[in-house]
Amino acid sequence: MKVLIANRNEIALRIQRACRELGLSTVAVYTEPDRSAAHARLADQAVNLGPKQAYLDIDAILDAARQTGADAIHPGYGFLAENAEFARAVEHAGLVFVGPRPETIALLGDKLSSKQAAREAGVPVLPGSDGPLPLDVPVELAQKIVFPVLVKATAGGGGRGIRLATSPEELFDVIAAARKEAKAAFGDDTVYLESLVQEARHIEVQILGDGEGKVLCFGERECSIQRRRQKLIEEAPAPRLSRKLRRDLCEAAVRLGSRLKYRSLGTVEFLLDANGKYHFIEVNPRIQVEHPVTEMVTGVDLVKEQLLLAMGKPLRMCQRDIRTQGVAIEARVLAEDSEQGFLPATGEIIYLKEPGGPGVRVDSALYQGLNIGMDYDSLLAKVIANGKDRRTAIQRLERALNEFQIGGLPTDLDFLKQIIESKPFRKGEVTTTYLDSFAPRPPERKEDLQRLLALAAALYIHSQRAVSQPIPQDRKLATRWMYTAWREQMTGAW
Amino acid sequence: MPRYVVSINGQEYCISLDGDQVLIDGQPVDVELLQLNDSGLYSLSRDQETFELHLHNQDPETLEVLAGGQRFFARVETPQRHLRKRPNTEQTGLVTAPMPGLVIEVLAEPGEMVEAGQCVLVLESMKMQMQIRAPIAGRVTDVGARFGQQVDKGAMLVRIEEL
Repeated sequence: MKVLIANRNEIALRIQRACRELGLSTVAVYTEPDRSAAHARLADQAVNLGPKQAYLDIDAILDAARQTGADAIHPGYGFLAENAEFARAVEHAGLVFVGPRPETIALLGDKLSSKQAAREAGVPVLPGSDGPLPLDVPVELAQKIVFPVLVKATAGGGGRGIRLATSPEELFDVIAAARKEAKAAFGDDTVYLESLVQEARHIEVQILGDGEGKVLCFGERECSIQRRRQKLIEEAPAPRLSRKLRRDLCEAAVRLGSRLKYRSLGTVEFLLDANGKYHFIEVNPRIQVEHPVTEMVTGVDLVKEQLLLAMGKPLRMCQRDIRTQGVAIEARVLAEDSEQGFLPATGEIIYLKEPGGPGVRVDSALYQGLNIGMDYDSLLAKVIANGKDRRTAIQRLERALNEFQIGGLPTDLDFLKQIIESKPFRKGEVTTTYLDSFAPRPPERKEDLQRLLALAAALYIHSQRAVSQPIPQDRKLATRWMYTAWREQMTGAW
Repeated sequence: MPRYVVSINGQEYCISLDGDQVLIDGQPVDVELLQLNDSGLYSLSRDQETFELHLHNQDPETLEVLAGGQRFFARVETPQRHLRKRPNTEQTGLVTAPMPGLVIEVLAEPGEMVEAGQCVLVLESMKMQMQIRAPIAGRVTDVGARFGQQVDKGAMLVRIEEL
């Protein structure tokens, strides 16, 4: 079987690896700005789709599948992964879509219908307008609801298309602004209201369904460390959850999955409020960025299981076989300047040294010489560390982030280290608003190290200037006088 | 005697190379910089302390230095050059788009007073939302972008007049 991977960056490589282990051939697709991307040259075949938006071009991708004789298409995450029309087109072309049925994707893509499905499955949902707001919102509405309240776009999801109204006075303005934004971003201005959970934790449950009602649960992940509603650090299992709550969350996710006769991998997202009550948010019908933490604690290769199911194989395990062991934490390394308001950064990867050693996994598609542009998102790499307990996992993650050397452009590595060093994170006591008040401190002044670096810099520049004059020099030593200094040291003449 | 002024994080160091001797701010030090390959990898040692460094020229005078899991910038100049040119750090009130994106919020109006660092506009590009902040305090004289507009990198967003 041949699998076309309709994605780029680390997730494309991740899926290629699973395919290779299963003996499946792989087809990569790439765009003009991604001509030299790693995923394009590491697959068995690669097809140029065209301009930078072409990862969203359904016809071009189906053409690529036809040209290469691919049997299946894996969408990865982002791009077309949650596009029901794409899934339908893939199946219509007689190919296997590695993901849920198109109807399931469509149902879950509409945030109101997915909420309705959760309610029907007996999964607690947040109170709200339970239907789209009419164009003329009755004035009495503002009196009836509890503030603050969220105004959400039905076509949103993944943290997008959400606005907050804090008082009845501003409600109507916020609704109007949310409609305008939703129209611009999703081409659909339908919005609804949902009550805001303050001090909430983001907990999500990984499921895998066979499409016939059998659904497995691979435990939960906590993803409360978010910035502008985008996850930055994720871990499995969620710290400080009672055994009962953990079981309840799993059962709720499985109940919803079974009701939908869910096929393939999915993530059921919940908010956990300060009273320990959980509320359904949405289902992500695809592989998630943070899936490796679950893989590390369960020992299951989720992408492989997903591919096997898509090939028509039955589930290879039952719920009893799924046990979690230890703790795994993932940090997302992004090309951005934490000191400049987290602006996405661009540049060439001048130097690269990825971490390794016990309990460390790096998912990336980086190489020295790669140019990071502005065309796609800023994810450079995911560093995942595990250990027998949370303390060990944190120690390893910290060590791994310190080993990670990326030269040529700014990254959030230092910011990530500051978060995992912080007390609330260490105690596992963070909520989704934790980073709102977490200011990155300026880089630590290491006076002594800086003095040494100043010396190194001067010696380096000096040797460069010396090289431009014809001075014979030992290749291994920076300058000839350095060599002399070294010799004198060796002979004790210094 | 070759001499250099090195600036890192706003701190300046005077380094002179006197024959075999290296002096930093007049004090002799015993350091060794060993080149490990041709692509910028070095080992630096002082007594028994060792560091792995990656050195790379951003321009003839600026080095990017990776050391101990951190990224530094070192400016290396001759004393004469160092004295001759002071960097021009004057901030202007022109705010341009740092990347192409969709304007999803405009938070400043012409005539309005803003503080330095105040958010004046929000851009979205891919899934990233970015708050564009006022570089200086002053009065907004011009807003060059509308809500829902797609702007190119470098497009004028807001102009602020210093009072």
